[in-house]
Amino acid sequence: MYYLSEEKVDWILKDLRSQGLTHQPLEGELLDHICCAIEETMWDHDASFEQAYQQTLVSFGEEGILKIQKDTQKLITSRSLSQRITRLSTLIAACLILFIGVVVQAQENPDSHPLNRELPVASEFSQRTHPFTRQNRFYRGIDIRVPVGTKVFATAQGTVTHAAFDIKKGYHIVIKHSDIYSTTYTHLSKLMVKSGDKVKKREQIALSGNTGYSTAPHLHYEVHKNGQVVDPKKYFGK
Amino acid sequence: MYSKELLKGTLKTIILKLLAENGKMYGYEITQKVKMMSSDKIVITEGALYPSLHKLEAEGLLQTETINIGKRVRKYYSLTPQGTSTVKNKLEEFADFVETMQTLLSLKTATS
Repeated sequence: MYYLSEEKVDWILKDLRSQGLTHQPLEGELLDHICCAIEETMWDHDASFEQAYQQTLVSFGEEGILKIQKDTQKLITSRSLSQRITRLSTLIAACLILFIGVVVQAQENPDSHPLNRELPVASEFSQRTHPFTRQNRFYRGIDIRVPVGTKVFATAQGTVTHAAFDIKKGYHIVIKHSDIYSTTYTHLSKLMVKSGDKVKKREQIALSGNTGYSTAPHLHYEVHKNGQVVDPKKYFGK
Repeated sequence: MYSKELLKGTLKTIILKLLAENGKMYGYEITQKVKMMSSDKIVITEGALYPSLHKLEAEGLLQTETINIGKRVRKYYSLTPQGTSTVKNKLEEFADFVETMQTLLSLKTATS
């Protein structure tokens, strides 16, 4: 077997480069290939280096190494384009999942009961005479008559925006569930969460009481939808 | 020698099968092996081989290692685990294809 000298290999590389071979990953490989072909031709056909080199290049076809380079780059580029598309679709899918997640969370409805069991509801969501002002006005939310110290639960997951004492509401809690829903719990005796806390659905947040403008131990509960008070009973048990 | 069109769809299968049998091979070795095994009836051109090799590598079916021989760099290709599992599918598909073609072109008497 005949082996090309390093000078010859160098010369071939320079010649290939002068022909326009620039794609690095292909360069070394093609150089080796051409060297192998030349060596074999020289050995098998007792050809001179020049003859063997010419014959090898001819075997590469009319457009020769440049076409190989072009085709290789084209295939790899098209591959990375498809990879880019794959990556893009992954990103879109991730955004979509995130978006759906947000929407689902936004739809987190206060659909459970604020107390442990169905208890007699003292006031309906309707007009009634206010016990202190004696004025007939649209009453907000429901009153559920329960003894002081009854456990009160968050009706949906959310963030506590208020947990404080107020002369009218007594100890009270407001939970924001989403951009749409929030719920309030008033006349409590003990607060078990503070403003900024994240709460889970059915997590205990307080004990009921008789604080603020209240005539008897009860829980006052409201559901706010887009800032409007809605009938909480429509949400129970959904 | 067969036409370019006829060989076009077979190149990947040939490369994968050769590598499955021989472990690692470099480009020139592949062309020579195919030429020898097919009694010069199948000649893989460099123009077809290298783009295919690079594509298979980009697809994750082949991996490469380079060995320096003086100033020359010899790039060996071998199958990745993914490539190994692809070979079996490719061969089965091809065997099935050949059988279908034989039936389709009435190259053999259809049985039953």
